[in-house]
Amino acid sequence: MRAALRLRLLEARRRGGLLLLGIAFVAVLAIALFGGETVDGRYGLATDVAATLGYVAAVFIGAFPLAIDRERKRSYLPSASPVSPWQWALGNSAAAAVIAAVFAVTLYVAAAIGAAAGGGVETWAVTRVGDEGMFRLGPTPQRIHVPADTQALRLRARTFLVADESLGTADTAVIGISGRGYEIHDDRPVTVPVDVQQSGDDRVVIIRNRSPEYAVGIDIGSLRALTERRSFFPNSLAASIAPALGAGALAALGAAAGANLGAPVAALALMLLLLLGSLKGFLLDVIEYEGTLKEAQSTVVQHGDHTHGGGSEIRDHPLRAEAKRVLAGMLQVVPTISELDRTGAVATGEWIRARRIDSAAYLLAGALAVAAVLGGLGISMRRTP
Amino acid sequence: MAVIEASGLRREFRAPFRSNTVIAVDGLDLRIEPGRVFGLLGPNGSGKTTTILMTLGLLKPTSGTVRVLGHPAGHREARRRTGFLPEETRLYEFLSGEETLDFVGRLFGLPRAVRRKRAHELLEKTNMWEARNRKLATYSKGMARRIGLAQSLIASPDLLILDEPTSGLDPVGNRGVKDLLREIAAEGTTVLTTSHILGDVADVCDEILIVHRGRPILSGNVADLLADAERLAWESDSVSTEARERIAEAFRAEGAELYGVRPPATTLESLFLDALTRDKESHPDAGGA
Repeated sequence: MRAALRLRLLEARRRGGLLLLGIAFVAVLAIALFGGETVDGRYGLATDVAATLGYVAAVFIGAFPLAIDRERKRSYLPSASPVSPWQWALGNSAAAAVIAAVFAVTLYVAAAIGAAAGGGVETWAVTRVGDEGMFRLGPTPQRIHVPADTQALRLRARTFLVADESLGTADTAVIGISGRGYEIHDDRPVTVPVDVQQSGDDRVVIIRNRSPEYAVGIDIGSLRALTERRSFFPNSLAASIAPALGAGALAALGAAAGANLGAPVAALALMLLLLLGSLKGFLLDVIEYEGTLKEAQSTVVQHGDHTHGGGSEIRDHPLRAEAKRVLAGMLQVVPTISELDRTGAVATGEWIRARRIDSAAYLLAGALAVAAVLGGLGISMRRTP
Repeated sequence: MAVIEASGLRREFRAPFRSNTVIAVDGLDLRIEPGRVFGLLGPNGSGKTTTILMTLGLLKPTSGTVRVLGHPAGHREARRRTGFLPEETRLYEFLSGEETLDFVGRLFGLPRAVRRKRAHELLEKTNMWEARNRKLATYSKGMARRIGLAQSLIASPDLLILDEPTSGLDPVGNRGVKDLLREIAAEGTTVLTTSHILGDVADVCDEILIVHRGRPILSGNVADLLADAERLAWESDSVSTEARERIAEAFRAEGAELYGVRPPATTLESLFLDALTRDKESHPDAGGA
């Protein structure tokens, strides 16, 4: 196992791994420094790119034992030695996991350095508060149920100017959260500190619309309670776990399967799972999120006379709502990588935009990996003893 | 106890999505005693490499059995005591020669000090000392072959299995490998080797088995098989023409046919090596890889 581990680490270094890591480091650092208007946005984008590159690296590092496996078969050195196949596979997997983790963590360091140079960022442990959909926020205070240790609230809202109330309106809609006013910018999440209040047995945050000339739609799915600040290190470590595990699992399959067909087929299955994961990200982004906003907008326009009702929910067409529920149910089966790498910690920022970018990268990485696996499959099929 | 004992060995290959079956080895019996240098000969596609892979446990026989060093083929203890040089020297190109030997030593679980000592010995023996720190990617085919041979010896094996060991070697490397094999055999290591180069086999092997289309067709002791009992060859210092005539007369008196009297010719290999040695002595600082 140690021989395989050492060999693979040496190989990663000698085959240009450090150079690639250096280039990726500079790229992520540049994004963290210049990639957006706000430091939070830049950091969010940089960490998403870091995670994406981590996954791309993990896919290729994980798939590489296929090539190693072929090399092993042709040279027969490990096979003819006393090393057992499972030890060899374990060593390969451990090395792939270590390399992927180092890659991901290093890129997170780049994001953090860039963000720190730009003024610093905050990362939080996040709890999702609401379900799916959207509700209209009126001037009447609304109560949002949150965990007891909530320190801040993050949400995304959409504003619509109500025509007959528009004379002399402010430039931007303002919502009140815990008694303080915050401006709403469409499509941009707002993160605000909150005071949690006791309401019976529940803990709540009071929120209301302070600009009656605007209809404000709150994206329920975007509501997050930020409960605990976390430093960069646990955040980056949490984000590196999934790529490392993915690379290790892929390498284990590739090296342990052994048979000519087994390794590529097993790897292909994993690649397809990654593809489905990225596809889900796209669907969530494009269909669910945007669809919901567009739906909400048209509903408000069509039912403008109801916009002053306090906190009433803006509803989808029943058929569309049902279709979304079915789609969401189907998508629940497949884990979204974007969600995995945000487990336990998340950066505030323009995460929707970054998510689209990483989804695209996953698709690209998946397609390349599938091509590589199919190529390996073809070569394996040609091999004769 | 025989070092390798195979009985009724048969291996079939079926191409995927095709109905035809190729029989690579068909009914092979093999018995190699300790300390012998055994040559497995045959044309391309005759089943030599398949036989070797089955002996190593890297391919399973369709039928028949192989025992190596008293264990079933592929048994961990058998692998621990076996060195192997595959036909294609597909080593890890990003490693240097010395690192390659160290890596294989690790695979065999050798302690660090032993790995280092053995690696240095073998680098000297295979004439690879000066190139030990170069990456294998920069090696010529012959150099890679020599490092391949060195790695097969790193764990001081009781059985050495070599698939075309002299393939790709120039006459100097070829002679070096043959000398090394003789040395290894003299130390008691059993060697199973394949080769296309029959002269090499005759130089180093005690016994041979010729296979054709997967079937054994001739086997035995090399000296016995090559000996011609109907003829005799004499060698002597040069003598006068009159003396030659008297000797010829003596043959005729005995009723024997004298086929020829001529000075013995050296081999082309010896001529080549002598020329290189002379050039090296007269131009010690000349270039070259």
